[in-house]
Amino acid sequence: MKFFHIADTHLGAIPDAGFAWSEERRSEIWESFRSVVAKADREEVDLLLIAGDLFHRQPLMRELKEVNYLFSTLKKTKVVFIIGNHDYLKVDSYYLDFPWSENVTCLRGKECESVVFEDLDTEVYGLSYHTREIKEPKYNDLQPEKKAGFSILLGHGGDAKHIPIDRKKLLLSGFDYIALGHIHRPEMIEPDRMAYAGALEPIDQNDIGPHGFIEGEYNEGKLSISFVPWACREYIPLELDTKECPTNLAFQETVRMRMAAKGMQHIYKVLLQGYRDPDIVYDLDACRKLGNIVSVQDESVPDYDFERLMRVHAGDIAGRYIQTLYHKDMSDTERKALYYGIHALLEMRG
Amino acid sequence: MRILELEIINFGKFNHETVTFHDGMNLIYGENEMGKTTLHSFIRGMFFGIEKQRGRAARKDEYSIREPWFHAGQFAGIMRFESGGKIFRLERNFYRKEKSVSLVCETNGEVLSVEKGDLQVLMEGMNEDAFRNTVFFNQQSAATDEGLARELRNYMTNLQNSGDGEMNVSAAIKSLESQRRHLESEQKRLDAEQAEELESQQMRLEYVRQELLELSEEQKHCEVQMARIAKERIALQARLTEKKRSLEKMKRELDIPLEENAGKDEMESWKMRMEAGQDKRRMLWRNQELWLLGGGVLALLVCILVPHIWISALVLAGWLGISAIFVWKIYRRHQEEQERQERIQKRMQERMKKEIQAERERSAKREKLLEEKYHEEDELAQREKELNLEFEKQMWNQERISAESKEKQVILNNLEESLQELQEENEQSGSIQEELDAVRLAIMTMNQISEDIYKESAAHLNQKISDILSQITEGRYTSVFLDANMEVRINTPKKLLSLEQVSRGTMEQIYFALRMAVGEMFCQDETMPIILDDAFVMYDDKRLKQTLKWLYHSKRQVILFTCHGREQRILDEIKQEN
Repeated sequence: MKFFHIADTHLGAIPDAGFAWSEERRSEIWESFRSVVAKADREEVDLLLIAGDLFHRQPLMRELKEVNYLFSTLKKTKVVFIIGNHDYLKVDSYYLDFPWSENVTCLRGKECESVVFEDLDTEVYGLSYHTREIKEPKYNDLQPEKKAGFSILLGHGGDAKHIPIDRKKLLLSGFDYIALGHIHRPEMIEPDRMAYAGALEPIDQNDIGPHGFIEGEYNEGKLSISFVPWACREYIPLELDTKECPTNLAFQETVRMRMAAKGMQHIYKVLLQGYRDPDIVYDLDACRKLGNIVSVQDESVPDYDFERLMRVHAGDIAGRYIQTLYHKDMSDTERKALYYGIHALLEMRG
Repeated sequence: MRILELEIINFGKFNHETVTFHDGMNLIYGENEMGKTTLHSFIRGMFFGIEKQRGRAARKDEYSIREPWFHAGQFAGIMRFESGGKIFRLERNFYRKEKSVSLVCETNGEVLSVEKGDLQVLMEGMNEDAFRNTVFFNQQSAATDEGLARELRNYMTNLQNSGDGEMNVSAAIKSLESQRRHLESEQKRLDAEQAEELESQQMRLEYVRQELLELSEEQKHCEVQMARIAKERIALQARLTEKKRSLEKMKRELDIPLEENAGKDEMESWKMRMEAGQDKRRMLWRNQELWLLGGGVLALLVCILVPHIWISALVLAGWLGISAIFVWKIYRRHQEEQERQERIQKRMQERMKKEIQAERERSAKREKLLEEKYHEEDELAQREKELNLEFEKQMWNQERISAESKEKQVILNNLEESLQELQEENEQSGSIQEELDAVRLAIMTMNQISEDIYKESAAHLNQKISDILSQITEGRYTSVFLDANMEVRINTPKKLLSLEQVSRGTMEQIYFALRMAVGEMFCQDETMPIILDDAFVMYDDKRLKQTLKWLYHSKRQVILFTCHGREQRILDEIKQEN
């Protein structure tokens, strides 16, 4: 029995509003979903499991029709999905009376229910969100009824406001595989037993790293799962040290080269750290234009030796300035104010 | 600092003159036009140079005034002075085409740079303005009392505002302010961008909301239409049933066949009459027959009984005759009866014809009426069909509207959600805000420090001024300060005076005390020589003595140019007193 476990497709999301690639990302999110369904069909996968948040918000009728059409093209694959917190079952949701293709099962009960596929000797358990948040831990005490040889729990949540999960307890519950969604970062919690597939495509700039889905095969009582990278692109943190960037142009060149090495299609988050020459000002705006850069953060610190400066400027205003602001537990603002002030004073000196 | 020697190469009326000074009080006495002011000007020129002005101003500027009378190309001089225990040699060429300056430490041979500010360091950071405003006294600073009062006021106000002359702070604050402005405009730009994004979202939201409103209007319209149709349909149905009933009735009436109806009874009676006639005729015949038969039998009997042929013949003939009459008579009556019957029949037929004609006309009329009714019914039925269709259409419409409304509602909710997320995001984004906070804190801190320093130095300065003032006035005036209205106020042990209430001489003394105090503020390690060009003209002897006494005791180098003998005299008195 072969299955795909995908999650958090967030169809309809428009990431990075205001950036040039935003609209493109919106269609890539659909495209990735379409292609993973096509792959399932091509490889004649038995089950396509979707662990919630199929849509980013409440789906429209036409969107459900699109998705259902895709499902209906599956010749052999059966689809089981649950509804997550993002597209939760509102009272007037189109989900409620949507006529799904016959190979599709939506486990939309508030409480856990299951569907048995006798030909696959498999049972899939799951529940759907009827509210935006569910604070009770609904999964921890579940037990499979063992109506089939292979039992899967399709779950969505894992943080305080969305069905908290006790991982150890859940592992002991007797499910053969626990397919989780909601957390966007893919994670193998327990090899071949429990995993977050992660978002199929990264949905916002916090979803750094590779994204895709989980492929699994159950054979003669043995399950093996593996992660398949599938997303069109990644959000990549680009951490630079000031040592690599002795000048502003060097900074830009380093960013450019690092991006070229990893691929220009990716979206980068530039973070500059370390001590810098107090006279250097990095042009962050110019940096933003070098590629798909969603954020540039300059956390570099001017290389001042305050102890020494305080000694040298003991009698004058610079000394007094340092004395006023410098202490062990400076806040970020105070530290920055110290840099700004000292730089201005020393710059004006000569 | 002490000025040791002036070597005037060429300056004004002087050429190749050397003047030496000693510590303490140097009194240079000379008649008018002897060159005291030129010498005084030379000292300042050596320290700060003399710039030639441009254009019209150049005609009466310092450069032109001090240009050597002979050898204009050798407009130069040398000054030797002592500072911090070392002796320095300052050479300057004032000549505008060969302007140069050099500073050498004679003690250790070090070559210093005036351009890089080495001389200013030796002068305790004093620039030309500070020099002119403190230790360097021109001949009579102001010509009139009001002029002096104004100058004094200005002096104190500037003092109040510029603090101890720490220029770094205000420049640094200025630079920080410009960074703050830059950050603020950056933040504004970002805010505007976010606002634009928000606005466009809000516009989309508003658009959907409008669409929903329109749909609900449409829905209302649709409902009104449907209510109207329903009402009309009910009325129509009522009319239709009514129509059907009346039609049914009419149809029933029309269904009665024509013969049955038209002159049926009459025909019957006619028939009976005709049959009666026939019976009558038949009866007629039967009676006659009996009569004839009876007569025949009688005649036969007579013939038999009476054997007379002729009688028999006569009787037979008589019978035959009678019979013939009878037969004729019967025939006649038969004929008559037949004619009568025919007449009746004819009449009856005519009557019938008329009757049928009338009936036909009537029936045609009814038929027409019926047709009309049928037509009306058809029309009503047609109308009903139309209404049904229209109703159905409105039903579809309503279905469409409610489907669309639902979809729009979902879109609206989704948009609202995304708008809310956007707003939350905007609130969170604040890297510029952080920078701005830091710059603002830097500016605030620096302002605070500079104010603190000013306050400290102001207190220090006030103390100094008061010290000097009370010394040179022998305690008649104890302090001087600026009040809240920026007016100069003078304290005496008894009362508070305004500047207008004191004499010109006192004003001069206050000014002197101020300049001395500020000069001392500048000079922490080294004192600067005090250079006075006939500064005490307005002083009476008493004041002059007190002032000179203060100068004498200050242990500073004083270079005093004067054209009066009394300074020397009073100074001698002071020296003798000690």
